[in-house]
Amino acid sequence: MTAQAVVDVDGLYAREWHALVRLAALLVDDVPSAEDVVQEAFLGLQRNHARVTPGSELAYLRASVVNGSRSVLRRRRTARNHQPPEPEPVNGADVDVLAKAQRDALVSALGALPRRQKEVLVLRYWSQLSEAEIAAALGVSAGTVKTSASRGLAALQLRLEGRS
Amino acid sequence: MSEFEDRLTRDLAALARHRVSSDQPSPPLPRPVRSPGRAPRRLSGWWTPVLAAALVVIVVGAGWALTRPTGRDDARPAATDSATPSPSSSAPTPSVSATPSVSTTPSATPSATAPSTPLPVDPTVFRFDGVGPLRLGMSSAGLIALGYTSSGPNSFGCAQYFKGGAQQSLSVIVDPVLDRVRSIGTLFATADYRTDAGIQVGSTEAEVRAAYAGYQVQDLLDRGFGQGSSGLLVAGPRSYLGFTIVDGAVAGIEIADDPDFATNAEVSCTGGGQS
Repeated sequence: MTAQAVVDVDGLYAREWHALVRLAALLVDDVPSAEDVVQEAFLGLQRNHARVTPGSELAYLRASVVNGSRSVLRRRRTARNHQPPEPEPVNGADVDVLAKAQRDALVSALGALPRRQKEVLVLRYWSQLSEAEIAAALGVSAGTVKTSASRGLAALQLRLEGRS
Repeated sequence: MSEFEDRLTRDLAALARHRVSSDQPSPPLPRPVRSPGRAPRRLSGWWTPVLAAALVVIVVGAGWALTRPTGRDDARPAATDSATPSPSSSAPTPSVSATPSVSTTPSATPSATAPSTPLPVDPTVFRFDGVGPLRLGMSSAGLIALGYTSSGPNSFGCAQYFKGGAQQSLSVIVDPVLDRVRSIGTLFATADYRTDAGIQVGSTEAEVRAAYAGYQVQDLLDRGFGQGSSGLLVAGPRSYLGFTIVDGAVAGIEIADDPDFATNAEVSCTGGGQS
């Protein structure tokens, strides 16, 4: 049983590592931190695997990633005063300037949203989770998901269209 | 899904791919480190049922002791925050209760020290019943008459209205089935709005409590993962005033006709939504 559980986690890790790091990278502002968050999430899953409902491992990991990302941001809060720096690496002469400007605008607009709105939008429009899945991942009610999404989307649209 | 939602989906995917390439190799799967000599976690052996039976006896006994009649009427447990454990904790699932962790039921009857409404038509002043000419319960037609436009039906069952493209605009949530305003809130952390008790973005949590001392003021804990208070909810005569609290200061203001909202104004729209 234990060996099977380890095998399952290995498979989950191989399949979901990139997606989870991308999720974390949209919530925090640098990839190394995102990778750390995902590593911690998998460690947590292995520690608690026997108590995680079979089939809900990925949901557990997503929630852990959101939780870990919050912790990263909370530790940085005083230093950066809620304005995440854009850590985009310089890619050289072939960088797509327009695409970079769009990314910068999106990062800035996302960073200006309240935390919950940002989490809801990322889980909804990047992770493609349903309202119920988002509610479960964030530990809030479906009503909170609805209004957070609604307000977050409107705020994001105003900011992005104001900048473009 | 609206055009903007489509664009957001594409842009987020592009941003995620840009930050984390598919070619990026994943590091080895981390393994939990167990100290040498540490007792095994999983119980096994013939004594396990014995231990389980002993625990049952203890729990049942304790439960009887705690629930036996005492003559007091406060035996009902108070609502508590069911904070989700961190990923490294031993809880089986990361989900949490969505019930606000408040210790009291909001009273709809403020005391005589309630704040007054000095400028009832000031468009920048939040009152319990509305903001300027905006009123909770008004219809979408009323909003449109005031110059508000709908951002269109969204994916979550709520209709949202705002005025112009200014970032100072208020967000007005309309229940599409009942056709009435359920909530009005600030979209951004702007000091352009204040309440009739003088609270605005930047006011401290203590100032909120002092300004609404005659009201039932509830702590709204961030139930996500037990990170502490993230809002205050003030119960008015027929509605509720919510303050988003970030680092001890007000970061957002909203009113709603339903107590079941947190710092981002949770209002369950009755319209259909995709899920």
